[in-house]
Parts: sequence; C-alpha cells; structure tokens
Amino acid sequence: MKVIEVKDLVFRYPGNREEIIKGISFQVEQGSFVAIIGPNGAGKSTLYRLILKELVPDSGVIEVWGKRLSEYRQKELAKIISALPADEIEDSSLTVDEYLELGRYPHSGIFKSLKKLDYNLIENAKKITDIEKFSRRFLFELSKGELARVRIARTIVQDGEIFLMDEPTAHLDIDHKLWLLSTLRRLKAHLKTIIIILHDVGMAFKYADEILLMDKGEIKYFGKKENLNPGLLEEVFRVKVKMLENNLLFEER
Amino acid sequence: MKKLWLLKIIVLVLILGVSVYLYLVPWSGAPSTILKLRFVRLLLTLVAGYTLSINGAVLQSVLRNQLADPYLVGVTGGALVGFTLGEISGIRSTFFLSLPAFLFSTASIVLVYYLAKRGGKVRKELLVLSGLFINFFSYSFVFLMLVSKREVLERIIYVLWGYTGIILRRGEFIPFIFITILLFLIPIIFLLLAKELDAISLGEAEAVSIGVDVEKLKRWAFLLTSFTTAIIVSLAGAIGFIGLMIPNIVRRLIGGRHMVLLPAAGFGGALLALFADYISRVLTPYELPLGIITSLLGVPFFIWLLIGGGYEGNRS
Repeated sequence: MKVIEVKDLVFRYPGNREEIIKGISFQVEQGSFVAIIGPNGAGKSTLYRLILKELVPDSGVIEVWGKRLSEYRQKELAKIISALPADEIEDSSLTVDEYLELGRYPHSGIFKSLKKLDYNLIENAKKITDIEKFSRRFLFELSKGELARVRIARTIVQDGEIFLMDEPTAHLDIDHKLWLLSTLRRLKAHLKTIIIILHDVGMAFKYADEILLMDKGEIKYFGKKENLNPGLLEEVFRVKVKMLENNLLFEER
Repeated sequence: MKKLWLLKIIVLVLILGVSVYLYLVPWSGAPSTILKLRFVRLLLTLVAGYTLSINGAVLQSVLRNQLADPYLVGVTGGALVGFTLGEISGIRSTFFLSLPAFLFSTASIVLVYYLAKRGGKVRKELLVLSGLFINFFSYSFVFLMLVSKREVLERIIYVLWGYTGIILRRGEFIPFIFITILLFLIPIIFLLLAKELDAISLGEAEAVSIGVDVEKLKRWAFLLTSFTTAIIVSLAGAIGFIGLMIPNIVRRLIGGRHMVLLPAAGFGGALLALFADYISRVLTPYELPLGIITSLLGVPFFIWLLIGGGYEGNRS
C-alpha cells in the first residue's frame, strides 16, 4: 500500500531561478523505513517542507494515502504525519507537559478537552523517551539533548501513520542517537512508515531499510540499501567509501 | 488550575484600583455630567489597557518576539495616520474615524512583517526597527498635517500621546458602550485560538508539524489586533508599552499557555492603564496624556528586557 506518492515534483523559491527540486518522483510503501541522505543543498529539507504543505510546489503532485496534498487541511495532515522539523524551538514558556498536550492538537476540537486515551498516550511517550523526570520544567530550561527527546516524544504523542523527521538526531548524544533509531525501527512493527532525513550516512545505512539519495535537487538512488552502489556515494559525497561487515566506512579522497 | 490565586489577586487589586479611582481622584467638570464623564473615562481606560495588553501578548507569540507591542511594531503609528487623515477630511464621528485607522494599522503590520522577514524567519531586530521607522513616519506625517490644519490641533495632540479623558460628542454615549462591549468580547476569539497560539509561539515550522494553518492564524491575529488597536487609537490615542510590559510580566509569573496568559494579560493591562491614568492626573496640576506615563514606565522596562531580564529565555 502506497502511503506517499510524489510525481514530477518541481520547486523553486520565489524570486529564485534555480530549481531546488528538479522534477523528482518516488513512492513510499506502508511500513518502510526510508532514510533520505545527500550533501548540503541537495533539497532534503525542502522536500520535507513540501510533503508537509509548508511550501507549495511549482508543479507536480504529492499524494498522501492516495489523496492530493491540496485536499488536506493542515490539521488533517498532522493526524496522519507526525513530523519533526529541523528548526529549533524558539523561546517558549510552555512546560514539557503542556507541549506534549499540543501533540494531541490534530485529534482535538475547540471544545473537546483531552480524554483518558490522550493522557495515556502522553504518559507512554514520556516513558519511551525517558523524560518523565523533567515533565514539569519549562521548555526553555532544558538542554538541547533533553529538548530533542521531548520533541520526539511529541511526535509519538501525535501518533501519526507516517513519521517524517528532519535531522532528529542532530542534538542527541550517541546513546540517544542509537536509541532513537532503534525506537523508530520498532515502530515499523506497528506498520508505521518512517521517513527520516539523516546527515550521518553511516547511521542511515545501518538502521534504514531503504535509502533515498539526493543530490542537487535530483534523486540519485532510491531503493533497498543492499543494492546501493558505493561508487554512487563516492561520487555524490566526494569521499572514499568502504564496506566493512555491512557498515560503511568513509575516508578522504 | 494551579495559578488561579494570581487571577484572584489581580481581580481584587483591580476592584480596589477602581474604587480609589472613582472616589479619591480630583475631578473637574459640571456636576451633572461628572458621573457620566467618570464612567466613560473609567471604561475607556480599562478597555484600552485590556485590549492593548492582549494584543501585545498575541503579537509576541505570533511574531515570536518578546519586544512586540502594538505600539513598537507600528500598528499604533499606522492607525494614527489613518485617524489624522480621517480627521482632516472632515469625519467627525469617533467611530467612523476608526475605519481609516484600521485600514492603515493593518497596512503597517503587514508592511513591518514583510520588511522583517528574511528567508522564512521574522528577524527580531528588523521587526522592532521597521516598527520604529513606521512610527517616525507616522508622527512626522501627523505633525505635518497639524501645521496645515490648525483646527484639529488640540484633539490630535492628545491622540498622539494617549488620553482617555476625551469628551464624547453628542449622541455618542450609547455607541461608545457598544464599542466597549465589542472590544471586551473580541479577545474571546483569541481564547478559541489558544492552542494554535501556543503552537505558533514555538516557531512556525513546529506549528505546521503540529497541524496549525500558520498563514490563516497570522492573518486573523494581524487583522484582529489591528482592528482593536485602531479603535483604541481613535478613542484614546496612541498608548504605548502596556502591551510590552504586562504580557512579559504575566508570562514569567504564570507561563505561556494562552488560555491563562491572555485573560491574565487583559486584567493586568486594565490595571496598569488605570494606574497610569491615576498618576497622569495627580502628578501635575495639569492632566498629562496617559501614554506619557506608560512610556516613562515602559522604556526602562524595555531596557531591562534587553540587557538580561530573561530576554530569549536562557537560550540564544
């Protein structure tokens, strides 16, 4: 079952002639774990923002669950996609608990208060991400690593079918990095679809099933990681790549 | 709710303030109209403080800038230009004057917003700077108009600095009451949008991922804050800094949830306006415009915010 289908997507920033996304097409099946990799300026974050309706493509179509993105209201989309932007949270005087309650926003109405089910989801997410001990603190009091875990907890609270994350590991210590990626792998068991943008190619290769390699607004490779030709990585990232027991090693060229 | 005691204290102080205001302050005017004058003035002071403070809180969240305030981001300045244009083109009804004021205040906030936006982010320093320049322009324009139209001089001089002691024209009392009620009710729309405002205060990308239609929310916030500010400007003039001081204090005391923040800011703003109006009448034998008092209080507060009163929380 296709959860996301992208057809001939073209995007350029207003007032800019150069296309950031140059007519890409791909589709993601339910339950897959896709890592989007590519050098800076490849268009990864732009693709994230296009899928989330934050940007409007110049041409081409994105469909989520077989329905065009333009037919979704932002709130409906957030019910399906648990997204995590790369942008840092700006100064906020909400507490961790208040923030996590916002994660239930897509499932709520103006006059509908949170129910037992919502609070159970929040408690569960706090347990998974190990943030219970600072759930009453303000967001601005947390360290970057703590905040990153809190934000991941929010995506879990949101409980979408698709987890779309832009650099979720950026501020995490190595143990939490590994923890996050293996947690995401576990979500696969619940038929969740995971699409994450990762800077760390080695990590992407270790944890994801499929690799979407982007360069200069084009897709260079999309498919099973086993079939990815290391030569392609060498070309795109301008490094030497070695394969060692299913791990990638990188060296200067 | 845990912080309810704070609201109770605010209400109590408010009631005390109103009592002091009504009985202890020297009043001038013919005895038969004193009560009505007092009432109008009291109501106008309260609603001005209430509206401006809530508008400040909303703008701070939508623009993610603790220094935002209807005055500092140029909404008030724009309204002044519209008001003056209305006044010199012969509109004599206080309420019709708020229409050109609304037009220009909306134009100002949109202009300031786009001037401050760089690559999808609203730059904090550009926002305040653009607002400042809109204000420079507005005040220059108004002074230019004053020179050419002497007959509106006195009224506009007061409007420039905010003055709640205006005397309503004949037949304006009942519409005034309606407008006041409207102004007290409009922020309820913001309460209905409390969750969305919570979300956008975290940043636009974050709000989008939570499911908020950010563009729509901004449109509503800009329109409603411009509308209510324009009415306040045409009734009471340009009163600055209430929307800066009160929401920042309240945020520190009870946190950033708009469901609690907005009502508390409304109360606090009304209280501060009352206090400033009281001071404006007892400080000198002449009545000072209210806005002078709020500016005298607000500028030190602004400086305190800038040099480390928790500006930006503890992260940069």
